[in-house]
Amino acid sequence: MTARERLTRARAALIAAAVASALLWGTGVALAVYASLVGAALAGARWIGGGTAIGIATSAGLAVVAAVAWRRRRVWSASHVALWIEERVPALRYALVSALEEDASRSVVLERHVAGTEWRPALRTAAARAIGVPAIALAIAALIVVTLPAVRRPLAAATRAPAGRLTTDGRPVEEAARLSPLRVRVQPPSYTGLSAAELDDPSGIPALAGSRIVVRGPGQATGLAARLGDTPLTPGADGADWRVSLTMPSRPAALRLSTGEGERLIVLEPRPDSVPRVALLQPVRDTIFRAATGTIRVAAEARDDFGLDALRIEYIVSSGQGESFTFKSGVLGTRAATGRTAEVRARTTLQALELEPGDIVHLRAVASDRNDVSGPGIGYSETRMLRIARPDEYDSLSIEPLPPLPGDTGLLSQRMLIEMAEEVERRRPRLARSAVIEESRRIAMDQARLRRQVGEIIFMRLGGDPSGEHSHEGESPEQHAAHAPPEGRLTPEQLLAAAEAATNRDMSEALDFHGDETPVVAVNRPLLEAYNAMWDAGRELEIGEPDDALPHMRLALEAIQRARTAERIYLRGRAPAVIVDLARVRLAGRRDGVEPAAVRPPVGQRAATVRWTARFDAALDRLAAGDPAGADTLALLRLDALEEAPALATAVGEAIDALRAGRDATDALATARRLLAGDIAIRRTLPRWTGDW
Amino acid sequence: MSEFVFATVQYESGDWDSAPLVPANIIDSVARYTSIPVRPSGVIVALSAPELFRYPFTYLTGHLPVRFTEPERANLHAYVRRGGFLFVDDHNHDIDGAFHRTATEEIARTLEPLRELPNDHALYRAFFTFEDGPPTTSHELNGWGDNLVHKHLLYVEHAGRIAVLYSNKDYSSEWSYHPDNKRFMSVDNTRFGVNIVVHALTR
Repeated sequence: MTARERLTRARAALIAAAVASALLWGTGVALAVYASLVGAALAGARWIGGGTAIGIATSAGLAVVAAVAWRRRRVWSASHVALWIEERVPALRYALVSALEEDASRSVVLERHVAGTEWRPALRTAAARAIGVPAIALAIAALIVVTLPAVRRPLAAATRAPAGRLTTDGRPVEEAARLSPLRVRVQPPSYTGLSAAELDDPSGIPALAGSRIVVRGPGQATGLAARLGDTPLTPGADGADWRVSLTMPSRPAALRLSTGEGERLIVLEPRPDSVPRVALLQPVRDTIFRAATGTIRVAAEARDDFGLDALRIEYIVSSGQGESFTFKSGVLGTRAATGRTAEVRARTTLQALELEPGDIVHLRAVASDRNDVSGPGIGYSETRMLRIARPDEYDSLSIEPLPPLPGDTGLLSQRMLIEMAEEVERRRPRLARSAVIEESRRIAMDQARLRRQVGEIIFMRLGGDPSGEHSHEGESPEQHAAHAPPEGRLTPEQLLAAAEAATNRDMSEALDFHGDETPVVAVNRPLLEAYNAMWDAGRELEIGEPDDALPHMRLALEAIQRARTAERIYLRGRAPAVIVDLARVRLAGRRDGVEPAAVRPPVGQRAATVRWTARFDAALDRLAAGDPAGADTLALLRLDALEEAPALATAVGEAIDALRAGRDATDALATARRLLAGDIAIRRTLPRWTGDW
Repeated sequence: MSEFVFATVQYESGDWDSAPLVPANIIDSVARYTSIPVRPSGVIVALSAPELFRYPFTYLTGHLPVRFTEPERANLHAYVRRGGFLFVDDHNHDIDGAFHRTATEEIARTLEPLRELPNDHALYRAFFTFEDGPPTTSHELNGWGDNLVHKHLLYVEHAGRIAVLYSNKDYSSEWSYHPDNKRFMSVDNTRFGVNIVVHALTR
């Protein structure tokens, strides 16, 4: 073996010793730091958590490993190793260093000198020193940690708030060491296919109903009592620890663990297994068939949170009418499912269902899940109906409603007729004469209708008979001529005569007057003027001269306005005070006559809320006084609120977790307080109008 | 959040109180169809009073000639500039009537001339939809007024909003009945009043 080879082996041995030394020093320091942190935590350093202690210790250990390795970095260099050996074995007289630097073929003397010198004892001494000291330190630290397990458990206890446990006499938490830390194993029901979960010292256990739960704690089971609600449980031994096994109930409950020195509450929060969600994809809507023929396609899909067992499409056929009905049912399609989703499709003919007119087929899909603990959960789709029409019904016939009738053009006002005449006059240069005459005569017809209306009003006032100018059916032309008013413009006297003829009433009293004319005529004179002006206008319009008709039409309008103004009565008086009953209008109902007990108080005033608020206040008082029972009060409050007020339960749970972890629980407690105070009513209403812009 | 208050404008000339049941009827409709907090009875506010600015929506009607006093003009001008909404309805429904002639003249003098409001304006979709613009009233062709079916409402705009909404359709007659009598109607004819209120309060 040459000198170089011997040096290489020595270097390898030194490297191994250096690495081992670094690792030993690092591990030892890590354990020492961990043990120190445990001591600090026991002394009251609340900032030290379990994870924090391990993190700090690991970091310290890695830092020491790095430092030692850096300090011994020269072992990687052959020349440094050679010099290190020369320093410890002077007999080499630098032959090793020289042999390393010289060409081997020319250093036979050096090789012989090196070969004749023994340096392994020096290497052993150095390796023993490098490894021995840190090994001893590591052993001491490990001895502390391993042989004193109480150090580890108090660490867990100390690094969690003592709020999760109650000591009956207020003694320190460590006296109830058997109740902390707890390890909880949750095994979900087998049908879910979920794996077991481990919880570390939880304040609550959320799990599916039916899950197997095993709670383990340090120490013996003797003297330990466990109750699930009112049901006692029997703790058993599990090596050096105790254990309690139970099944997650379907309702929230509290697991109470107590020793002679204290009690601990764990809230069991069952999570229900949702029933499958089922949707009927086909047919997409209710349908009415004229005849029971043809093919129908049905399809459905289902989803479940853990797993489906089966999906099928059912039908029910109802036949008959009145009070006599018969039913038959069946399955159109079915599918055994294994996964979380499933789909089934089928088709059948209406003939196969043997449907009669009037029969109704009800279709729905049904899915069941694999819940063999609290189930199975069964989900249903919406129901669709297929109906076969009866021969005597027209349920598939679409009847369009009659469109609204056109407005009665006879009601065109004088003002509108003027506008129409003006329009014709404006367009007159562009129209043929025949077109002007045609449009003008159309207006003349409306003018005549309006004139007759005015005449009716006058006749109504005079005699109460609106017949006016209308023809009398059943009369001979001669009789009609005798009764009909004279054609053309009327004088007041002619008007009265016509009224007398039309109504067979003696109008002489109307002529019994003082002054220039009768009161009847005086009241109706404006209308009479309008009537006559309309006649004149009508004539001009008939011959196609709207321009000449317009002055008469305007006179007629003016006369109508005068009549209106003369007769209009403006009612004045005190405005009635109408106060709208908003509750009645908005169908909000009233409490009048309702017994107080029948009125459901608002959320914020419910008895449960009041009770919870009192307990919440008591818990805060205890926490403020440093009483760890405050957290238990919160835990019980959370238990009660889990079903009725899940948001409140969540907030309280977060507060408990924060307290146990030594964090600030203010936010969670404030949230719980707000929830207890009731919902804040937020209305989508209009912004305040400030009068500024 | 303040509640909506239906304010009827009182002015010194004319008969401002000619449609005393309109406020209750519109209040009833606003309560019936919307969730707007509303005071169960209306108020009367003088056009010249500073209290006018408490009410973002005001209603003015009458039959007789309208002549605003200087304080009324000044207050109305400031009210419109600050975002108020004045609904004016011609209770005569007569474009030759005393109210129309004088009221439009006063509005033009105080603010600016009225313009035709397009029938596709957002007002007609503010709550209910009126595809054809302002709904016709039964009073437009019943023998009173100008016998015209007015196809448009008129308005004065300020800052992109309707400041004054003017109607010749005589909604004051159409809506002036006790709200309990709505039950006799197949279609509530005050629905357009809801549109006016909602538009005034939201735009």
